[in-house]
Amino acid sequence: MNGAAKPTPDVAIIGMGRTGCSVARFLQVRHIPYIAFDEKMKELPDDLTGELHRGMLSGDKLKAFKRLVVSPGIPWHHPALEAARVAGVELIGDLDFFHEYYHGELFAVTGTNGKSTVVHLLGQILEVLAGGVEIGGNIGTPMLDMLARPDHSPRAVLELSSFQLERCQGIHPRWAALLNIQPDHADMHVDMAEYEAAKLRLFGKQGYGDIAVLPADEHWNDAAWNLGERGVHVRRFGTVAHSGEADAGLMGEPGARRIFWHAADKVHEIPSDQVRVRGEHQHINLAIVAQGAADAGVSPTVIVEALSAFPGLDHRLFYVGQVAGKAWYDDSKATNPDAALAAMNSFDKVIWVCGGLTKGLSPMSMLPAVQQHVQLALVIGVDAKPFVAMLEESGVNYRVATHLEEAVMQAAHSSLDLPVLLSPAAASQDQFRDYAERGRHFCTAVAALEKKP
Amino acid sequence: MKRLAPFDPVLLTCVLSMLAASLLMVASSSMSISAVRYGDAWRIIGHWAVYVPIGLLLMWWVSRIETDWWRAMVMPLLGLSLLLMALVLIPGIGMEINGARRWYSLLGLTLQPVELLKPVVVIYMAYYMAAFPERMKYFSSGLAPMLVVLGVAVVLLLLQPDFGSSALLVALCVSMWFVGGVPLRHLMLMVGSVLPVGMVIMLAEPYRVKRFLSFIDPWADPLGSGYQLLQSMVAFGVGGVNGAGLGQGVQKLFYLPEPFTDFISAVIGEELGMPGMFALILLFGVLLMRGMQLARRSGEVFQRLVVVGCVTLLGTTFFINLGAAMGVMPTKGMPMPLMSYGGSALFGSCILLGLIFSVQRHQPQNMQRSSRKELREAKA
Repeated sequence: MNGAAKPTPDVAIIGMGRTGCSVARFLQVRHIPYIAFDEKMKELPDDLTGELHRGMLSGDKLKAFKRLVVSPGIPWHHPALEAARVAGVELIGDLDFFHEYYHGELFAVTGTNGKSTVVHLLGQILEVLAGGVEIGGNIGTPMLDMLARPDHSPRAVLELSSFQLERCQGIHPRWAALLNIQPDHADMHVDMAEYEAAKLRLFGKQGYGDIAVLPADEHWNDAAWNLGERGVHVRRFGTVAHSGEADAGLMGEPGARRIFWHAADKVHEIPSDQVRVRGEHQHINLAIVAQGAADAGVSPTVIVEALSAFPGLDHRLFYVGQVAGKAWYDDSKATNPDAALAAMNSFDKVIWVCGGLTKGLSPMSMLPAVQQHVQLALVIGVDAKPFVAMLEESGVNYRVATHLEEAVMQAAHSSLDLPVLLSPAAASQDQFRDYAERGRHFCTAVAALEKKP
Repeated sequence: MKRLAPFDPVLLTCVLSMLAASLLMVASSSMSISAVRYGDAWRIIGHWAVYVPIGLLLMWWVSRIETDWWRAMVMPLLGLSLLLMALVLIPGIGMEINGARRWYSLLGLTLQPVELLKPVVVIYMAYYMAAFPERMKYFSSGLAPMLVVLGVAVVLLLLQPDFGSSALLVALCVSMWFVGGVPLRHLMLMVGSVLPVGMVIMLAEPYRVKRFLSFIDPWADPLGSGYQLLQSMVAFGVGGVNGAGLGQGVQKLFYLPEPFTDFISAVIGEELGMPGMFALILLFGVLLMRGMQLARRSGEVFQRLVVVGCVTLLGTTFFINLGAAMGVMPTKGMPMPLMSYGGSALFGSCILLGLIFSVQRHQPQNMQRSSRKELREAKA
């Protein structure tokens, strides 16, 4: 550190969260000097040797670099970043670094809801292929940590958020799926159109021989057409009457739905009651996974087995158990009305635990489903008002509970013989650290019921 | 203004029949896919029904231009098409798909500048050999300048990268030089030196080797590199001798990737069987033969060479496509002229046909005989 003055590094990392740290670690291994910027962090973790600049980001300081690696948490249109951009600095995300250094086959998944399930299960199935698979991205291993090991697999399944896609110059997945788009994170983006454009960047570099998976609804017809014109093999998924109307999805009458997908030689299907996870939205996700696995060359028997055995992910309509005479489901991950709606539609009648931080999304859109499925609603969280207003209008019985444990008690003592569903339709940060903590509290509270009958 | 002769009826009939058959086959092979992928069964065939008349209009328009104009404009045209080939390589101007920069995106159309380059190279080679026949004996003033032009074009193509079109262009030039009187030993020398280079370029890219090998043994990787070819062969097999009947094929539903573009002949084989394939080859064969006849009948060397070049290009593309679909040649992303769906390729073919018609329509009236008998009588 002493002696001759060090030359200023070309690269700066903006935001030192999990992703930022993985970028730093990656650069360190490759002996590329960097400077880290973070508005809150006091000091870098022990294993990082770079220099840390604290405090407000300023355009003047950032202009001196050639490349800025921007973490997902930093707004893309931050004034300091805009100033650097105008000055000709290249702004990239960790995805670009990954893409530059990773030479395997990429399977990429994006969408508002269901990404993790698809990535998790697809990764599990692709593990059977020679060389195995890496799983990473938005959750799990940060992408660049995957590259740290010298013997990484010849293929990777990535879960990509719109933030990562937005700040990415080019990614070229061999297989890319867009699951759905709903206004959840839309507040961080300027508007829905920009959010959608960010998601579509996933397909930007695809061409002849690549596969793009899009929802079957009309909204995506033009995007599909543009991809098709470039030679991309487009696949559409959805709920249809028979297998000739889509590449993958659910077919048949409600109550007798079958999950189907197309493999090299024919249509494959399994009845949806043969799998362990609940809900049509989840079953569609399974169909997409099956399609991806089939496209990668996994045999149908392996796919069917994996689909039937998959227990679901924690806090995503996870079956907690049969306690106090009721079945309990933890869907704490449902942080927006659409996700909660999907969960609710998986049941006939339920006791519904809802509420939290609404992030400006009105639960009013749930009104018809609530009237149809909910017998008793228990509202938690600081933002009870919008839920109370909606429930008042629906005419459904409801009670306001101060915290989750109280709601669980009330549900247990209800005389209704119905399953209990925690699917809050709101974020958790008012009372919990994250949705996982909310889910764990729910499971603990349910388990506690057993001890005091 | 001189009155133009009418279109040659034989050639025109072939072209129109091919395009009519194309509309039928693209419709048959695309409708179910179009419905699933784009939510509208008519979307692909609807676009095709617009492209085909535009292509015919382009052919008509090119056929009205005098051959002397081409000769006079050869250098500007060559400059323009090479410039377009160079510009397409620049990020932001050319569109990158799958790691290759070959396309311009214009008014919702994806256009490939190589489709313009091909006819221009034909015109340039014809012009040069017709203008300086006495130089052909010598290498430095004969073949060398043409080699430079071809070299620049091939380098620009390889930068995209587009190995298939470069190979096609080299094959085209070699045949034109052969016809145009370049000494055989010069040609041998050139082919002998280019062939190893081509091999190296091919072996440098793993996917090319993979593609090449997959045609020899598609069963080695039936779900990967051999997939298309196997599905294509299944289609021919399902069709058998008599074919499954128009619209009755199943391979096009989901198994055969892009059945309405590169592998349309597999759909024809499946649905129309051997008669359909024979009719297709016969039709295209007549088109090529008629083209050659017209070349022989045209007065000037320049015109003859232009027609020979156009016919060679169309014929080579046709047989490469057919060979790939039947598994006797490496799978090459090359559409079948006048049959496969695709705007750029159709417009390219229409320019080539327009050039042939331009030569034919600008012949003096007494050269417009269509039968041998008439020709004999005219000579007598």
